[in-house]
Order: sequence, then C-alpha cells, then structure tokens
Amino acid sequence: MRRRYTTLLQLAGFVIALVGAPGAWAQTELFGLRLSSETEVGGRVFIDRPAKRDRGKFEEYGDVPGGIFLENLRLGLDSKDDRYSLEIRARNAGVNNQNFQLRSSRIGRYAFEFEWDQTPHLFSTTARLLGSRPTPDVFTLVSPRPALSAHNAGSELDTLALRWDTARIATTLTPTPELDFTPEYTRVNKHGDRPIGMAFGSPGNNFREILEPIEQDVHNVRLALSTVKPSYRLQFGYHLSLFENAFTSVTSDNPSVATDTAAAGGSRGRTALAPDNSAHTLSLAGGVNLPLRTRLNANVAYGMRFQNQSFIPHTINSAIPSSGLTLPQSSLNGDVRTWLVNLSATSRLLDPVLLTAKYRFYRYDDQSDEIHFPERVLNDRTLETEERLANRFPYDKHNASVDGRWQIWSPLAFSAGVGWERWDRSKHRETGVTDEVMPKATLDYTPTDWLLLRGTYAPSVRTNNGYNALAHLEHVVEEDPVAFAASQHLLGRKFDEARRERQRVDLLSQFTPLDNLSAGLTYSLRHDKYPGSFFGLTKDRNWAAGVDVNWAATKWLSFLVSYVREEIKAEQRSRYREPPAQLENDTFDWISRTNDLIDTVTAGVSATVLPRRLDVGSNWSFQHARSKITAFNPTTPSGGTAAQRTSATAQNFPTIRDALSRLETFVRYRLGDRWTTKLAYSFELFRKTDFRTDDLAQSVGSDIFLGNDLRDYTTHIFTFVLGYRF
Amino acid sequence: MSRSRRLAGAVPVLFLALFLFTLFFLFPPPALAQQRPQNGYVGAEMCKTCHQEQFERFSATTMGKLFLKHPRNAQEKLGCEGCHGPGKAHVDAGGGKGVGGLISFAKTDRTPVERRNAICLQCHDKAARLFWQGSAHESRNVACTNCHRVMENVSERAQLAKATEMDTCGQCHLQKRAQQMRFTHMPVREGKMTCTSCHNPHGTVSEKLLKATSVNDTCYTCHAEKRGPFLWEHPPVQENCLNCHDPHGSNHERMLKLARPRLCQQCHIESRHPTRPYAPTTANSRFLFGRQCANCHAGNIHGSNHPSGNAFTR
Repeated sequence: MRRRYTTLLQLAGFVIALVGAPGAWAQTELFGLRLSSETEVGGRVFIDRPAKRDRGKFEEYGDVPGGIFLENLRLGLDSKDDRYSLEIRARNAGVNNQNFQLRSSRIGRYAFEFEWDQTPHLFSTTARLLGSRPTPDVFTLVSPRPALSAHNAGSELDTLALRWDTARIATTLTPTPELDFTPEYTRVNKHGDRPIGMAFGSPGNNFREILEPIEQDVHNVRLALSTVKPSYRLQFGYHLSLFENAFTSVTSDNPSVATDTAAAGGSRGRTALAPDNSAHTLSLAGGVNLPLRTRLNANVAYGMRFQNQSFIPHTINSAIPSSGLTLPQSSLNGDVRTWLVNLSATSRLLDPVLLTAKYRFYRYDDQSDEIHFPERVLNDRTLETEERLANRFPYDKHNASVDGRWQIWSPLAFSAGVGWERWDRSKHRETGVTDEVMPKATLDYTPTDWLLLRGTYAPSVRTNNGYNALAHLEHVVEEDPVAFAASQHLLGRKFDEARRERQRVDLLSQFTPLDNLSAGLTYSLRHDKYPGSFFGLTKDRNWAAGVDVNWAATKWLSFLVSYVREEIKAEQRSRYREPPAQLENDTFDWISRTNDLIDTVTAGVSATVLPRRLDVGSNWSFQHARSKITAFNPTTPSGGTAAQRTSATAQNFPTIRDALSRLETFVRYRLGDRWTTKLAYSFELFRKTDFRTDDLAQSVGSDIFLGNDLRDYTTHIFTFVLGYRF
Repeated sequence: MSRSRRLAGAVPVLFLALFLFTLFFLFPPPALAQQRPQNGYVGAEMCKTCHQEQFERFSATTMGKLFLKHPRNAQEKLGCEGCHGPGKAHVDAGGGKGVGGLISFAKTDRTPVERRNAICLQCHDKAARLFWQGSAHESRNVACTNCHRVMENVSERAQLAKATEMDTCGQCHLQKRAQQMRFTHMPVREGKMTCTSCHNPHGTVSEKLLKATSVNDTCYTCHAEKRGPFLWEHPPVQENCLNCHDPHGSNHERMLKLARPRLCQQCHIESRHPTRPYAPTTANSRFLFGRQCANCHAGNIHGSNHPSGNAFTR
C-alpha cells in the first residue's frame, strides 16, 4: 500500500514537473523574478534484482526501488539584479533516503537554509528472532522455554535497520562585511533497531542476541559571532548538545532458564541503555597581526557535560537477595568539565622563512561522583559481594610543536621541526604520564611549475613513567587474591599507553606536464614497535600507495584512473591461561599476525560524441579486501591436560574476504537547451566470506544469535532519466 | 593527577596569555588588509572586453554577483582587479599571458602561494578561516585555488575545484577517497556526509583539522549517546574513538581497525576471557562467531550506566 502511495506521489511529481513546468513556467520570469528549474525524473528496471534477503548491503544507505523515481528537482527564483535568491532542491523524493533543501539569501547580507534529510542504515534482512515483543524494549519467550534449536526457526525480521531523520536550520547574517552571526539548529531523530547481546552466563556461555530499540534525539544548537577589524579578529561560539533516549533499558527472557534462581540464573535479563545527557561548550577565539610579520591566534573553550539519569536496579532476578543491593545513590551526578587552550604563532621574519609555534592544552576533568557499590549482580545471575568503586578517569593532554620552513632557493624548500605530546592520566589507568617526542623533516622540490615532489620523515618515541598492569583492579576495594592472579597479565601492555617507537614516511608527487594531463603518486608508511610489550600489540606496520591519473585527451574525451593499495599488519602475543594451574604456562603462548590487504581501483572515461548533444561515459570502481590471521605457538604446548594443550595450540584463522564492484555506463542526449535524456546501465557485485557470520545458525548451544548476515548480491539495472531545465 | 598538578599545568598557559596580550599593546599591530595603489585600475568592463567568456561565467558565481553587482566596500568595487591586481599595465601593453604583472592564480602563476592566498584572506579571514595561518594546509603551501574554482560554479556550493568535496579533497588524499569503497563506511559516497562534516580544511584548534575540540567531540556531534559521562567508563573509549575505529572506512564491521576478537585482545589478556587461539569448536564459538566479544559486552562497550555494568555486559 505504502509503495503504491509512493509511486503515485512520484507520478504526480513527474506530471507536475514535466507537463506543468513547460506550460506554466515556460516564461523564465515570474512577477519580476527570474525563474530557473532543473528536473530529473526517471524509471528504473532491474534485469537482475537481489532478492529481499540479499539486499542488506545493496540497500545499506537507501532503498533502490524499481519503477518511476524523482532523482533531482531544483527550483530557483532570483531577483533580476541578483540581489535576492531562493532555491528549493529535492533528491530521491518519496524514497527513504530523500533530501529536501530550501535556501534563501540576500547576496552579501544573509543566507538562510533549511534541510530535511532521511538516511537509513540497513544492517540486515536475514535476522531471525523467536518469541514476542510486547513493547519495543521487552523480548519474551514462552514458559517452559522452547528447545534451543527452535530459535533456528524464529520469525525472520523484514529488516534490521535504523533511520536518521535530520532537520537543520542555519542562518548566516552579515550586517557588515566585518561581522558574521551564524545561528544553527540541528535535530537528528534516530529510530529503528540494532543488534544487542544479553549475557546470562559467564564467561560467555548462555547469551541471547536481541534488538536494541532506538528512539533517540540529538539536538545541536550552535551560535557563532565573528568580527574582523584591521588589526584583529574575534570569534565567540556556543554549542549546546542534548541527547534524549526514549528507552532506559531493554529486557529479554533467558532462553535457557524460565524461573528465577540464585544459582542457575535469572529468567530475564535487563541492560541499561544510553542515558540522556547534555553538553555545553563556550569558546572564544582570536587572531592578531603583530610586528615582524607575525600572526598570533588563540582559542579558549570551556565545556560542561552532564548526565544524571536515574539508575535502574542491579537486577530483575527476584531470587537474588536484595539486602546488599540498595543503591548508594539514585544517579551518577555526572559532571565533566573540559578545557581547551590553543595558541599558535606564525612568523615570516625573513621572506624565505616561515616559523610556526603551537601549544595546545586539553583537560578532561571528570567531577562525577565516585560511587561505592557494596554488592552487585553479574548478568542477573550471580551475586558478587566484593565492594566496587566506579572510578573516574580524568586526564590532561598537552601538545606543542615548533617548526620552520625555509625556501632554500626557488624550487627547493626544507621544513624541520619537533613536536611533543604528553598524556597525564589518572592513577586508575596503567600509566600516569606518557611523553612522545616527534621530530619531523620535509623536503619540497618544485623544479618546474608542473612537478611537485614532497617527502616527509617523522620518527617518534613515546615513553611512560612506569606501567601498573593491575591499575584496573583498584576499583576492587577489597583485594581478591583469586581475581588478582587471574586478571590482566602483568606483562601485558595496552597499546595506547605502552612505550612506542614509530617510523613514519610520507611521499607525495604531483605532475601536470600538460594542461590536459595530471597525475599524483602517494606513499605512506607507518611502522610501530612496542619495545616494552611482551603481551598485547607488539608490532604494527601499515603502508599505502596510490596513483591517480586524469587525462583529457581531447576537448571531448577524458580518462581517469586511480589505484590504491593498503596493507595493515599487526603482531600480537597472547597466552592461553587456565586457572588455577595453567595461568603461567609459557608454552601456552601464541602469536598472531594479522595482515589486511586492500586494493581499490577506479577507472572512468567520458566522451562527447556530438558537441552539446551527445555524451557517453563509464565509471568502474572495484575494491577487494583480504584479512588473514596467521597464528602459531613459539613453543609447542606442554604441561596441563590434553584438553588444555589442545586449547592452547594455535592455528590459522580462516581468511576473511570481501569484494565490491560497481560499473555505471551512460549515454546522455540533449534535446535542445532544455531537455536531456539519459540511459544508464549499472552493474554491482558484492561478495563476502567471513567464517564468523556466514550461515551462522541462530542456536549454537545456549548461545542464541540473530544470525543476521550481509549476503552476496549481483544486480544489473537499466535506468532512463528525463531531465528538463530552464 | 593531583589537583595541584592540574593547577600547575594552567600557570604557563596564563603566563603565556599575559605575555601575548602585553606584546599586543606594546607593539601596535599593522592593518591586515594590504595597502593597494590608488591608481592603475581600469575597471571590470575593460576586462570584459577581452575576457568575455570568463566574465560571463564569473558573473554567475556568488562572488561574481557580489563584486560586479552589489559590492559592499571599496575592495569589492574593484571587481576583477580586486583579486588580480590593477590592470592598467596589462591593458597598456596590449594584454597577453603574464603581461602587466597581474596575478592569474593559474597553475603556471609564479606569484608565491603565500601572496596569492593573502589576496583571498583579505576578505576570507574570519569564521572558518580564522586558523588558516599555521594550519597543516598553509604550512604545506597549499593555495586556495588548489581547492576552489573562483571563476565558475563547478560544485553546488563553496565554489570548489571539483564537483564534490570528496573529489576535491581526494586530489591529494587518495587513500581516504579509496576508503569510501570499504565494506563499512560512513555514507560519504552516498552523498549524505562530506569531508567537512567533520573537518575544516582551513585550519582548526584540533588535530587532523577536526572541527570540534577533540576527536571524541567530533564523533559526539552525531553519536551523542556515546558521550556519557557513564557510571562505568571504558577509558580508552572515553579518550579516543580512534583507538578502535577508522572513521574513513574499514574492511571490518563497524569501521573497526582490526578483526575481532584480536582487536579487543590487543589490550585484554585475562583468564576470564581465554585468549584462546582459533579453534572451530562449539565451546569456542561464542568468542569467535557473530559479534565476538560484543556478543556479551554488547551495546554498552562505550560505557554503562547500569549499577552492575562494570564489565559492560549490562
């Protein structure tokens, strides 16, 4: 019914736009205003349309329906003297990714804009869910519980998707050329579902994947006032951001347990969802010209973030004694203050020399309450009586840099500098202070006006003032020896706090040997080593190389080709740890090497067969990604039980691949100055191999998945578009 | 980090600010606008005589309408010469490429980039361009005209050099452009976002030319549900979204930088979560299949407000 309505709407638009327009608006003047319009209406025919279950990736960010569609509509009104203008645009009207814009301006004085946009995000069309959903945030199963295998025959969900509806109003007022005032309001409404897991056991076993109900609003209000005077510039800004969530929690029945017990788990589980929150940011920025051709810029921003939503109870398992589960307070009193101070100075004391100095300070000061919880409940199943403290994690971040660029002689410039970054974190993190020193040297060579060669070398070294691998246990107020032994390994290092040695190289070249030929070559390498990390990420090596060529062979024929290859490598060391006896068996160590290789190709040709009449063109994009994880034990596992040795024996993960190929070829013919016809053929192919999600059954023992997956597809589409402009 | 250390951190900032304000008052700053000669101008109509086609195209642009029809000040009244410089010498010499010392802004123009950009900055020196000086693009000698086409409308807005922002930025940032073809990506190639949704290429106070005050604040603009503060924080998440995500596109789900579970196991090596090598057994499946670690540490891995949510399973 809805599709029929949409088609009728589109048909009405088609008729109004194409039949009405030439008749009613054949005059390009209306009440003394100049009228202009562009309309593109088309029809789409699928030769091979993906089945509904295969459209998850094909229609990820918008439906691609067959039949008539209104691709683009633009209507403009301008005063004869070009002082005032009004413009209305519509794209994909009637489809779930439609966009409408209204803009109005008085040249040099004000600009007003309203935009309405819908952007869907389709996650899957293959998910299955057993049971019912009496309200969006409650998922139930019958009692006694169905056999676990019954989940494989759950109802298939039509779509598992979100949609963002965005409304934006923005104005720029320029009462004088020296003053800008720009208020803006944006509201994003998100609605739909996305997958979420509900754990009932620990560790891992017995969970159920359900849907997180999404009904959220994000409001952003921005105000900016800028003024420019001959000697200085000033800018004041204010940003208010509000987040509202219609759902505070989501509840699901346990697929394995139908009656609340204190031992085997609860019949239901409840997870808190993202709480409402708000943030305010005030900023003041300015720039002044100082003597000696020096410019100074400064910025101060102060932010406040608040979150005070009421807590939900520890558990909904009625069999768990609640005496120690009284909440110490009803909400967090979440209060974070941020500071940003930024200073930068640039100077051209001498003509060939540019000096730059920068300092940036960012403070994240979490002043929220630190709350002690005497007891808690793990996954609505197990009462845990150890006292816990919800820590706060404030930090300061400093960045400073000094660099100079020296134009040695006309074709050659040399830049050198050094940067410094410090993180100063809370005592609850493993590392208090990390310092990174980043020298950098760049050479720019421009021997002719058609060639640029640039190379940058930027090594860096990050150090820390010690590493407390057990810092995360400080939230356990009373130390538990068992938890201590089995927790994070003492030799593990988190990569964001670990010592690091980095080598970085960037190369860029741009050639424009002819006016009609340009080419670019880029290469970048980043090689990280973590010398103090025995476990965790130990090495990381990424490189990317690309070439891009644009050639206009004649005035009527042009080509473009682009190719990028990227390789991402990471080496990690882990230890299989089985308490109590095999926690420190070093023959259970294993190393994995991840290697992602991604190739992307784009090629296109466009030709004008008949000048101002007939154009043809074709564009092809292709991407292939391969992710391999090879794994091995440095030493053959020994000790422990046979089962433990088997568990500790490393083997390669299956390779994960995906490929996307898109081709569009068109012929466009202009009928006079106003009418355009376009016939296009599109081909798309998507392939994916991922052992983690391919053909995943809903029930794997007591682990219940939605079984959603993005499936392969191939499609061939013919499109005919008729355009009218005046 | 003690309170006294925090205060100590603010002292150099305040000192520096005081010093700079003193400097400002001790040395009266010169005017930003360039001093222009008062003669040597011939007017836009004279330019039109030979450059009819360019004149017509320019007239249809926002700048053209402003300069040629509704100038607000003396600078704009100069029309073509407001940017290209006085044209009398060019006219007197009979015209021609490079004749008369005009700034052409073409690729072959020998005028230093800094001088060319200064012409644009005479007017475009506030709002989003406030931090151009010292920005990554300025220090790499990028000319305004590398990204903007002033003389005609090529793009729908902002007078870009290419039809879209992606094409304009992609001239140099080939890798970022290619990432839009990845398995997971934000809807940039679908036309729902642009590079400037997150970045201000003219310079900002944040790393990577981000518009907001930090990486996370940029992401929170749309993903405000991740902002918190939460009762139970996941510190690397709170500090930097980029620890786990690559926002330009990834071959892994949810724009993650690495395949799970190895992504999470970069930091977590515990007995409770056996960092067990891959084994295609039922017992292991919960850590490998579906959404791997997120099967249980699910929607709240970014932080939880549940009283028992310290492990992010609630």
